[in-house]
Amino acid sequence: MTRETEEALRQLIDNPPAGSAIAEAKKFGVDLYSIVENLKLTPTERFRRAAAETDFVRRIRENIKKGDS
Amino acid sequence: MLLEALADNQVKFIVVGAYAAIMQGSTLRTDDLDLCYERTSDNYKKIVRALTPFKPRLRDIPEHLKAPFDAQSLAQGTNFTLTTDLGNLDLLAELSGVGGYKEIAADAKAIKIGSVVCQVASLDTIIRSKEAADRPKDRLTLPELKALKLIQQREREGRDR
Repeated sequence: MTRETEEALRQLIDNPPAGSAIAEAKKFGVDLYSIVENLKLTPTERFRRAAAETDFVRRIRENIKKGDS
Repeated sequence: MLLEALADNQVKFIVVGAYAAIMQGSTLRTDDLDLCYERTSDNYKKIVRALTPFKPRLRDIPEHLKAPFDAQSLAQGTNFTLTTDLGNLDLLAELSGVGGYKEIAADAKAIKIGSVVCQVASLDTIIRSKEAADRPKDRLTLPELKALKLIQQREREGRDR
């Protein structure tokens, strides 16, 4: 993503057209800047990051279960 | 690794649900990988061959009630919520409001993950399925997914300029 595109996206998020999906998501509390950051990554990087988080949560749950038994 | 195993065994599948959205830029988080699979006997055999090394078993079912994970079980069921040595995996025959493998494949995108090129459900398909499923957890994802679609469009326009 070029710096110009990133800047245009940030401006769009800062000043979304009224009634647009971006305006609605902002009202809902979605962190749209995180989407822009994600779009700078490759699909593989996005997938691996999500998989690592999923795995981390799974390991914590397993440890809690072990601790309970 | 699950995706590689499925691709190595030429399983016909499409990544759907939150992981499909994540691959396309969403910040959603999920506990499981959702895949829609083609319902043919040949594909059932390939799925079993691909997943068996990872010890797939039905999730949240008492051990004594668990059926074997084989081609026959796949033929007799539709949706399977599995756990494997690598994490949770949901095998889905169809998505609410969209249809099965063929309908989802119609506008799926080919996305490279590591060394594997996967078919991934389009954002339109994910949005349609979440709207149709209409559970509270689906409704929570819709504002982000719709905004992501618009942001992606603008990003593409910026790239093409």
